[in-house]
Amino acid sequence: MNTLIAIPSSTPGGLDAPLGAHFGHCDMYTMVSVKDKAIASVSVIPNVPHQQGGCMAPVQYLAEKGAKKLIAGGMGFRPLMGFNQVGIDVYFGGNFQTVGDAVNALINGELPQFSQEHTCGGGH
Amino acid sequence: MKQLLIVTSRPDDFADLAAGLSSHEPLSIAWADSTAAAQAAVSGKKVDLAVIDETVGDQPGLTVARDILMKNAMVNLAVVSRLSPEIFHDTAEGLGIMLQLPPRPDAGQVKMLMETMKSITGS
Repeated sequence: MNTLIAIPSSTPGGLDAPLGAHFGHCDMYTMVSVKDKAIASVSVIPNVPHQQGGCMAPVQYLAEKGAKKLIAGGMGFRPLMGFNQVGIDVYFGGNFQTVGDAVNALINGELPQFSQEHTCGGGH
Repeated sequence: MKQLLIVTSRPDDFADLAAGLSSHEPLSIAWADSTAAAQAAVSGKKVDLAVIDETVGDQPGLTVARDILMKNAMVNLAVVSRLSPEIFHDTAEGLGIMLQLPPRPDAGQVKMLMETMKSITGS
């Protein structure tokens, strides 16, 4: 069974693109389908507009796209809780520069789960 | 019908706001006077908006907001605070607060609350 991973990315997206520094404000999402520990396909989708208080929009958007995992370098507390609520597992990929490196690290079990300690801002 | 939760230890000070919101559109309004009550009100339920007082019992409103999000991150949040907008924004970063409200929110804040909700949710 394929697992769809969403990765906030900088332009132009794709495996060689830089990892987006902060979920929600990224240029786009690279969507990587993984099967049997190998990358099966790669696509890019646009981000959705994000206004103050509207951080559930990208959460629901990625859930509707079928994402089951997300790799993020930075994220606020509320979207992290939102992803947990919709069943998308979030991993911390802040130590990796490119989407491809972060995805391979996830496949190899090297990425920690994104915890409250990783979240941004004074709300944590 | 939208579901609204008002979290405060001083409900009389929020009566005008509640009345203004109810007259603006059909609403179901629930009240909670503690973090535990607020969490129970949002757990497994659809709540469109929670209006949280600056302090609830002995808890800061932003702490209550965080505790609500732990139970239901889909609830949109408006929080009463005397902080300047800039300091409030920094202090609340990561909580996705929709709107900062003045210390005694009243019917004057209704339009802004509803318009902000509509811009975020589309309804």
